[in-house]
Amino acid sequence: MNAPIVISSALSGCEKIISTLLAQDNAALEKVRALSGKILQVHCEQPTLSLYIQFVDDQLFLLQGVAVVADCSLQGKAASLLKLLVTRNSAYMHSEGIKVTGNTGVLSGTQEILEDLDIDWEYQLSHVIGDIPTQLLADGIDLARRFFERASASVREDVSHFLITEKKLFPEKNDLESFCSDVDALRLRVDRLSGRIDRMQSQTAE
Amino acid sequence: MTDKQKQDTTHFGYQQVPVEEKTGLVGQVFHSVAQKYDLMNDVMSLGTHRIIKRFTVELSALRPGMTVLDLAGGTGDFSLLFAPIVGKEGQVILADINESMVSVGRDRILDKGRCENISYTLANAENLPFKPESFDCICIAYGLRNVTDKQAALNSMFEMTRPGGRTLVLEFSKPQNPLLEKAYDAYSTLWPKAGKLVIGDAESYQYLVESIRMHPDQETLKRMMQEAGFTDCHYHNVMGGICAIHVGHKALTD
Repeated sequence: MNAPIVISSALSGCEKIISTLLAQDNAALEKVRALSGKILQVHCEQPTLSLYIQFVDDQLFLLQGVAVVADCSLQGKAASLLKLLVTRNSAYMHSEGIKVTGNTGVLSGTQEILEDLDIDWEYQLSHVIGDIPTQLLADGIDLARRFFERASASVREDVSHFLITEKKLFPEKNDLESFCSDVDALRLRVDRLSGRIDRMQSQTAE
Repeated sequence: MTDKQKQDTTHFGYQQVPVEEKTGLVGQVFHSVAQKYDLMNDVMSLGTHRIIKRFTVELSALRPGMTVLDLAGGTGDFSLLFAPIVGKEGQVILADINESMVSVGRDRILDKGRCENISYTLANAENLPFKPESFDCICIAYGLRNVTDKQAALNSMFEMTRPGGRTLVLEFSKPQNPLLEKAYDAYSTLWPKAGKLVIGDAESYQYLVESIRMHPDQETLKRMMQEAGFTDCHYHNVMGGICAIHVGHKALTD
């Protein structure tokens, strides 16, 4: 099976996941509708990959770009593009390492969708596993989230406190150097004294 | 067989039959398999036909508002993929020569609630009943090999394609690797048995296997498309050439 078919298959899977997620957010669907008819190219330079996002009505399609021309092209290294995606901040698209050509409104629109995306995953999951298990799962996740938040805050506070306390017990650099110097001088005197004792013992023996 | 008799016959699988009988014989085959056509496609292709179709749709380069003809559209797989892309402003016409197939396709599409931009019609690919230059894209998938006069069908498709538009032909073709060809030949001998098991009809799938062998290879079909008038003709081999997607364009100026 050749590469375009494998990629097409993978994109089809991603498309279904995105469609399912978008369907949970009516505001996002409105924004997708506003971009209907437009195509955004996302071109990653390192590694070299290209993905085309076609907006039609309230759906989007992911294409390899074998037969389409994009209205807007976004180029950059993988790290820069990923940061743009993760930060969800449209201001970042003007930063270094990102190049935008064509109709920038398409990119801004896409950024807005990402920034404001609010997915009610509990509602979606409740259709699959039922209301009560979803509620239990959501409570569990919320409990775990709060535990980790408290734990991380506590660890940060403890580490800070520990360092401040321990700092008081640590000698200053000058004190340490002076102490080391005294230890060296003492070692030399002990060596000399040891030498004298050895010499006196050998004289007594004679 | 005399030259006159040869001219008046065509292949139906490995058999030679009178030209005027082939359409009816193919019709019987598809009438027989229509109800479980999709299931058998999954069985024979091990599900790969779905991703091949998706890639074909990508090659169609459709945009919202376009008009597309899903020729030999059968059970509506392609129409269902085209419809959301052309959107509410566009239109998809599902055409097939076989009433049973159109009926199954129409029911399936209506059951999915996708009816706002899809129309249906019975049509012979050799003589398409539309106004010339009506379609931005024409797609015939796994249908051309069943047409009695393939060149006439390609000529008709060219006539119906708008200048600047394109026609796609997805069809079984010739595997490029001899080992793959042997493995594929061996695998396809199982199809009549699978047909017997699933829908109780081995003969229809025996015809399918034979018709694939009799279908023109990639280069021959490309030449036929060029002969019909298409420009910038090229093809994409899929799964080592087991299938091929031919793309032909109609130039903006003849």
